[in-house]
Amino acid sequence: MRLILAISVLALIGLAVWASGAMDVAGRWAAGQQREFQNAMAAAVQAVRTGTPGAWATLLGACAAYGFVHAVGPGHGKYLIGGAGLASRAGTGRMVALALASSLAQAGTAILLVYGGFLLFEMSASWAVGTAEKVLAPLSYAAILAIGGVLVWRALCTLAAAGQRADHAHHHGDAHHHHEIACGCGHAHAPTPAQAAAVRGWRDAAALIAGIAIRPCTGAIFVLVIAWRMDLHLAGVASVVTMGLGTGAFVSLVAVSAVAARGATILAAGAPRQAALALPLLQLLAGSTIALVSASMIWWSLAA
Amino acid sequence: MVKRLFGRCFGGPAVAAGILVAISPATLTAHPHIFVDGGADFLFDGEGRLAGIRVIWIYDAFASLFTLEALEISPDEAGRLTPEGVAKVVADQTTWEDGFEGDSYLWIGGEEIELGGPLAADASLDGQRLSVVFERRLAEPVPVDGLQALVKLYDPTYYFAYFTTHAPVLENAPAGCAADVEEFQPDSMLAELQTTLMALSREETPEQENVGALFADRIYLRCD
Repeated sequence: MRLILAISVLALIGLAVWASGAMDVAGRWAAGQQREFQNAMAAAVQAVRTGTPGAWATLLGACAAYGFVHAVGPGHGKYLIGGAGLASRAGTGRMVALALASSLAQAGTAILLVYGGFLLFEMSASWAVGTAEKVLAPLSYAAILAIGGVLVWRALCTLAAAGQRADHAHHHGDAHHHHEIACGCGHAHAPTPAQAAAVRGWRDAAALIAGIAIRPCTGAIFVLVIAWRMDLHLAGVASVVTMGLGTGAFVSLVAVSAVAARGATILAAGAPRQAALALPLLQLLAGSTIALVSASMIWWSLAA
Repeated sequence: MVKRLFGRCFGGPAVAAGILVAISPATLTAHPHIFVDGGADFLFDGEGRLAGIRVIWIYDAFASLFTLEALEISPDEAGRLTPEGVAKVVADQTTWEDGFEGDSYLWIGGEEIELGGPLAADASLDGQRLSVVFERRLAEPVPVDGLQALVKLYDPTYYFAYFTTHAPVLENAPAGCAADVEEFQPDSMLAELQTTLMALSREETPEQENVGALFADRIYLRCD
């Protein structure tokens, strides 16, 4: 009962934040801030070109701030990293590393797309932005949808296995094993804590990072195009990496909150047997939220 | 311009947008990247009828710089556009992709009126900000007796965020007409969102409501 209560409270808090319009308020605040930092970036890039003292510091400062407030808006893997933090057993340090890695990888994609495009073939700026918005964005949502699906799948497997294990307790005299769990996710017979974790090993981490990094941030593309045209190639790379660190800082906050929320839920679940169910249930919740959000994002981005 | 440069997704059917608003918080999709100040003027013909509007877009410094660099335009020493630069910006800005409705919408007496494509376009660079101005004509000029017209500038997808900073000018207006701007009030937003959601449960097709429209300022023209 306490477990159901704990998870319900968590879901209700999420729903309340959603319904209260708090996200709208945050989004609007972020948009206003973003505008300020965008203008600061524009001025700073021009100052770097003319060699104004201190221009580099201003540029990088504006980029870091832009990355941070821009990440308050949708995208940038907040849902995914937050969901993974909620659903996995990964600790705070690991989740922060994932958040930073995914943001930096996203910066890398932007650099690859813009500089690669300019270097290798006669790319137009509109091609870079168009590719990011029309091809890479839906691709990223699809990848994230798949990850959400995997989370749900694993959660269901763990729950099914837990149910069967409870069943086993009454039939341990049987000579043969009951391996015929329908979902066939392997080792369903005895799920270990490690198995229940959503972020399992480097493959999972890579999938998370890649899902987020596929889609470069438009702001990063703008800076890179401007820097390339102005022959400030190094400034462009430094700007975008700094922007990625700013984004990573915000996503890290989400990751840390998610880890804390998970800990609180498991603690609130009370009895060990219930606590064991907390993780797969959180996983189910996070997975289906991620899947729902990314599905609606795909719909939106393809509703052209 | 940026319209073309930025590659964007357009509104899609109103129903799809409405349902999307219903299943996700507005900010989930609302993600402004480009900030545009500006507004609209009302243009009247020789007979004192409303013949069209003039749309004014002033891009933020970042988007302006991106556009200039992307179009490979160098301002002159005074930081102004050369005639060649103006031509490039105008060509880019007035080439509208299929489905792009110009992010400018007109209602007369509550009914949406179709506007023609961009005419008489001009561009300028003032310091760091790029401005674009163009006219859009009504298919049929409208007599102003008791006229109530509304113009909104918005991007249905909210990729561009528009702010009405320009006081509307009435050009060749007959006596008895006045314009005013009603800025978007954050408090009214949730109420509108709610209206949208409730509209969906009705059997009728929801009127064009989408994320960008929810945040739009309103530019009114009222004539006696």
